[in-house]
Amino acid sequence: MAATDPKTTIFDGVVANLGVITKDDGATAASVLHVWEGGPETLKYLFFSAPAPGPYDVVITYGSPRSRSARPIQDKPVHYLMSYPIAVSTTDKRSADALVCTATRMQYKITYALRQAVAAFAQSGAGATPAYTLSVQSDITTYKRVGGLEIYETTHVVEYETDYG
Amino acid sequence: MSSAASFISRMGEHATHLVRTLHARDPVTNQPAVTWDAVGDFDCGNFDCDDFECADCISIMVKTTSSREMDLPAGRVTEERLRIYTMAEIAHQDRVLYHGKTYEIETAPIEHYLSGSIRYRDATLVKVS
Repeated sequence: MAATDPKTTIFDGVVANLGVITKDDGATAASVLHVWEGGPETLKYLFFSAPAPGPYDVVITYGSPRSRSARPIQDKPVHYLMSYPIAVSTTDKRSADALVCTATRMQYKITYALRQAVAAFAQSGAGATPAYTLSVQSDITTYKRVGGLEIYETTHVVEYETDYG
Repeated sequence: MSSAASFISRMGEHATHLVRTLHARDPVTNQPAVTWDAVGDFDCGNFDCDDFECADCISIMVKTTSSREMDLPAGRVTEERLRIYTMAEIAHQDRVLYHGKTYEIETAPIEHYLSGSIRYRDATLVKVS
C-alpha cells in the first residue's frame, strides 16, 4: 500500500506552491482556505465570519477521485489514472463602498496560480514511492445563487497517474 | 409572560441543550474539530425550578414530523425528524438530548416575537444517535 494518500500529496503540493494570491488591488494578500470537502463549516461562515486567518476570500476544497485503470501496451503493468476534483469557490467581497475581491477576478488568479503550482510538483522525485505524474486535465466554472450567496465555483480536475492500485 | 410562552414553559418537556464549538483544524484535512457541550442555559423556564442539576435543561414542546428508512450498501438508515418549540437560545447545528437520544438542529431556528421581550423559537431536528 502506498504510504501517502494522493489527495494528501495534491493538497500539500498545492498549499506549498500556490504562492500569494492578492485581492483586487494587486497588493493586499487574500485569505485562502485549503480544506478537504465535507467540513462542518457553512460557506457564509467561511466567507464572512470565520475567525483569523478568516474570513476567507477563496475556499479551495479537495474532493475524492474517480479512477480507472489503463494498460496501453500488452504485457506492460496496469497503471491507474485518478481524477481528483479541486473546487475553488469565491464570492464578491465588498468594503463600505467598493468591491475588494471580485469573484471572477479571484477565480482567474487561482486558475493561473493552480496551473503553476501543479506544474511545480507534477512528477515525483527519482526513485520515489509512489511514483506519479500530475496534470490539470480540465476546469469548468459555474455560477450559482444559493442561500443568499452568489457563488462562482470552478472545478479543476487534476489527474494523478501512478503504477499502484 | 404571554400565554403561548407560558404554555411552552409549563406544559412542555425537558431536554438538554448542547452548544456546538469549532476547534483547531486537523493537520491533514484542515477541517476544524467539532464538539457539543452543555454550557448551562438556566433557561428551563419553570417558575419553581432552581435545581442546579437543571443547569443545561431547556423546556421544549415536540412534534414528530417524519420518519423514513433508506437502504444504503452498508445497511439500513432510519431518518427521524422532530420539530421543537422552545424559549431557549438554540442555534443551527447545536444538539439536543431528548429522551436519551441525540438530535442535531438541522434548520436555522425561526424566532417568533410575542412581545418586545418575549419570544420563542422553532426548528427542525434530525436524530443523529
